Amino acid sequence: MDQNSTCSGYSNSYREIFQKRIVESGYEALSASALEAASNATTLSDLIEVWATVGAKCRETTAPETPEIADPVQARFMELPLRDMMKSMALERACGQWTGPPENFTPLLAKLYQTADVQEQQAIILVLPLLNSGERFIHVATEAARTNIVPVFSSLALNNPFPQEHFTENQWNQMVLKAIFVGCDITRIAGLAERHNPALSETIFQYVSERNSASRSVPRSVVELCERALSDTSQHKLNAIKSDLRQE
Amino acid sequence: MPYIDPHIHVSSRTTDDYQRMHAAGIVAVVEPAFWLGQPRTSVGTFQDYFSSLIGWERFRASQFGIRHYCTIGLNSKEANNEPLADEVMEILPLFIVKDGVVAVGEIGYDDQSDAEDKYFRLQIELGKKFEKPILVHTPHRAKKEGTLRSMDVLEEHQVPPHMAIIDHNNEETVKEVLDRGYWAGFTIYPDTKMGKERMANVVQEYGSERIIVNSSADWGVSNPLSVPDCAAVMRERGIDESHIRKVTYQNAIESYAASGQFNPSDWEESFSFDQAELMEGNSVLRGQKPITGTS
Repeated sequence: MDQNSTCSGYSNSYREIFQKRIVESGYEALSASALEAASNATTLSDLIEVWATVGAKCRETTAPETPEIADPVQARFMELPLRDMMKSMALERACGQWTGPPENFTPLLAKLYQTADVQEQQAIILVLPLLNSGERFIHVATEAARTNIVPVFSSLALNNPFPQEHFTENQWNQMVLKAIFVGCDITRIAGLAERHNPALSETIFQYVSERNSASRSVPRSVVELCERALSDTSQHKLNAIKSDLRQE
Repeated sequence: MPYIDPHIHVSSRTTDDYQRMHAAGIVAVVEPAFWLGQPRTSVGTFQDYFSSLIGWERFRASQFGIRHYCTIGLNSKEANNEPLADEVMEILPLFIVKDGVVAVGEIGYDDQSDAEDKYFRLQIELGKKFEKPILVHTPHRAKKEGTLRSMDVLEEHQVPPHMAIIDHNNEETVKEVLDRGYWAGFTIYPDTKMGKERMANVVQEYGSERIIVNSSADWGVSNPLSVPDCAAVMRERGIDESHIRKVTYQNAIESYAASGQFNPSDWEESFSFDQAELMEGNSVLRGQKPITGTS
């Protein structure tokens, strides 16, 4: 899959909204100095120091009231606390201007994620699509796919092109299943149609069947996804339970 | 009436406790880093513990409408393993600077050993460097001596008294702690430390200036509702509401305010929680009906 087609729209939007919010909030000087310091960072401590400065000086934690934004990706970027967005852009700069040994950046980002707070973890996951050679960071993304902290999981699973671009079929399928389990709106998963596969349809069918046996409901969007690539045998079984199945 | 529990080890408590705390009016908690009942043997377990205080536990509390803050430090018991303590000192700055970290603590003395003294002092310097208040744990044994010694050391390191909370006070220590200008924490335990009635006596005798009530509830016999329960006893005694509010809410805010990380607006406004949205199907809410509401 062409990285430009999946990640560039997202990345451009992220950068544009960051720039706009920095100007509107009057944090241009802080942002400039943070990005400058990040471009010289060569260790974990350097980066944490940049982040600490941003955290201490950028007191705006929530976005100002804005008109309803139709695009869910842009709406997410507007909701993100500005200081977390600034931290994420510092990370992007550190990645782009990295002067340390190339092999050191991946473990540094992993450690940064391990020592990050809930908000910072979301900021790291949201900025992954902007980082060059994103395949280096699949391990961090799979950690986010496993977390029980739902806002962090959602930052990866919903509206984020990174998994679509980099996940193997098994990693993709596990992420989609988890999104279904934790009650996410799966229509917001980037690449849901493009990455769909018969194995995923079959597993979702098992889930739908289990839910039906327990007299529990299933979102309509999940049944639709299930039917996209279902084997004839399973489709036949699904048809047989459909009249009982509660869809919402 | 809103309450703050400024010292509770909620990682050791159940979700039932969180529900009861929310119902009793607790809007925010501070979880000081401490030991886990048995000593850790590697720096990695410290790192994971600190991460959970700024990550999972913060999220877990939010599911129940409670804002979670923490303090970061190497506790006195584990300071006695010096090779490990040195490794822990190296990672502390990674966490002290995080949002929602309101102090360096809980630190101080347990056995009052040389190693405890060394890491107490090193961490006081960390607090000064990062401009965070210091949360001082006073020892169970030789409490009075240990409390006085802790304040002497703080003064030696030129920590202004408004930047330090001396915790786990009793009738024997309170006067000197207040006279020297520190915040005085009191832990209400069912059997040990302070009791609710005795706490009410202290407030009647000393007033409410710089006095803070907490539960320090953990994995031992303790009560996560100590703060609201103690407020109820003070109310029965006829202690003025303004004093009750100070010792069970306002003083906690003011003592940690110097960190720049403890702001009532975090829980007074814009903090609505919706378990269904955040947690459905997740391990915390296995099969339960989610609650929605505002804090």
